[in-house]
Amino acid sequence: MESRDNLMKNRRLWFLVHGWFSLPVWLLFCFICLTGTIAVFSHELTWLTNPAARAVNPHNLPARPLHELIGVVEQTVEGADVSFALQFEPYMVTAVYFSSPSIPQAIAYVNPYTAEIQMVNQGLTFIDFMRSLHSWLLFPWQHSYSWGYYLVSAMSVVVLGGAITGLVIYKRFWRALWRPTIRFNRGARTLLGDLHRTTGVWSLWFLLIMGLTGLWYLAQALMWHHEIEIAPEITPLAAERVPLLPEGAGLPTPITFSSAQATAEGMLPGVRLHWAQAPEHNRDYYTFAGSGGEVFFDNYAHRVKVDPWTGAVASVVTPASMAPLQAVSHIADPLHYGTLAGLWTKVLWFLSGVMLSGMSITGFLIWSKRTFREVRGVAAAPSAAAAVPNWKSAQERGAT
Amino acid sequence: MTPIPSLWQRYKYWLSALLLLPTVWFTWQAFNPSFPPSWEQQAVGPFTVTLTPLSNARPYPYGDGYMKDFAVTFCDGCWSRIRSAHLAAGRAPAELSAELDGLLHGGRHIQHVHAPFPRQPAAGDRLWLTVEDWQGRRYYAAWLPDGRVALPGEALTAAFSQEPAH
Repeated sequence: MESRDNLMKNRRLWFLVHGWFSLPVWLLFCFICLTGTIAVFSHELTWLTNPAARAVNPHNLPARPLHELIGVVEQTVEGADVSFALQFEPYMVTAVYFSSPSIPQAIAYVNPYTAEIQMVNQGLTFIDFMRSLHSWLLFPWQHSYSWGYYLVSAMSVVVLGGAITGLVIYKRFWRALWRPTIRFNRGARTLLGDLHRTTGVWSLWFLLIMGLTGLWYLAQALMWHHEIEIAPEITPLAAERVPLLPEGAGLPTPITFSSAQATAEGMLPGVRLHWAQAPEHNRDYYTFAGSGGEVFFDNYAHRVKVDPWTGAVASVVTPASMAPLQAVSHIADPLHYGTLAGLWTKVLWFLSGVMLSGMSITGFLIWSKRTFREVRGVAAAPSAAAAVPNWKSAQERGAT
Repeated sequence: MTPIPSLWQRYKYWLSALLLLPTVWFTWQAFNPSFPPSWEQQAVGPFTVTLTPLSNARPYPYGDGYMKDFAVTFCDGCWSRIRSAHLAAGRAPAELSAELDGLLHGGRHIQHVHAPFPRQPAAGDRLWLTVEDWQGRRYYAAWLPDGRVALPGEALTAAFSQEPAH
């Protein structure tokens, strides 16, 4: 009898800890889950709602190289100075970021097959808005840190703590995998409990992925903030390597985007480029990054930097050559975003995101109904009383 | 009879919604961006330059000191005639250092800079801009903390002038 009592006491304690992990921040957590769930499909929602964002290719043309699309923007928009270009899914336009004498910053939506500029966007895109809202709640960035990013990534503790304590208090949880029980005819309290437990077990893999990648983002934020090296830094060009010219010599001429891209592609055979960036200052490099098709690495895991003055290759990074933390930084995003296998994994991530958002709501409703039921004079259903320990009695023992 | 729950008991788990209030404000800001007025335009050697702070906030802590972010615009076509430019606060202009903090970067129409500020500000501190042309000549400009020009650029360039680096 005594060991059974101890077991029950332990379960009650674990149950309380489960609540402490999530209840105080359930609303914030729910908001982050919902925005993340929408962000999974931010590219596809943009495609659906904005025809100018679609890369229509009726004649099945091959995709043009990035430097060509950049050249189109520089030749078409008066005074355009391109800073970088991003290539997304094959059904999306290429985003070419530029400034001009009258536009501080804008994005040209360029069809990668026809090289036609379909739109110039001077505002915030839906994709960037959802990403910023989900990842740092739009809190401002101060050079290398944002308090919003810390707040969101700290939710990984909530995810992992809630998942682990949930498994401890849910006896033989694995049975819900092949025998899920959702009782619609036993009252709201029973239904909420069934939904909470079943979705928890079914999305356990997702909770662990979100929790662990979120924990990485927290660690990454701390390292960014404290200037701890994640990837080996590529030293900027020494000041002496930037040309100094005699009087009357005119202006120096760096190599062109196309020449730099040809050099980069020579170093990365078989890699599809997703990012091309011009030097940001005279000691910086051209940067090109792409995907070699590895499932678990992001689209920027193969990277080359090219000296703009000599055309020499300054650095080459591939998944095989990465330092451990650097590899994690390129693996975390596809796992967190669900882009591993295109649309199918996005669908799976979206549905799991809906379940996770729902769990924060059902968890709060379960607490609310149990805590206030006696006041309202509503008798608890017998099944509910059996399913969870008595929260009130724990509270009265001074546990909260 | 269970006592009626207090307001605290009833609503304590809704308090995390308060953490979303800044997000409402930042969302409004994201769709209605505005910047403080530009600081007084001035000449730096043969160029003219305008600094615009990205916010009115005090410099934020970073590393061993502080930083403040600015957008910088030069006269039309001038940026391509500049080899390097550096902005930092202190008693005297910082050297065009090997470090990237304070280095102007961006496209040819507008530059950005994370300007370092000292940990212990002193009364005589200025915000110094150092510009080097392709021949290695250096020019200086300085602003007071409130954005006014500290001294004419010619005087500063004369005070700190040195031989070109080559």
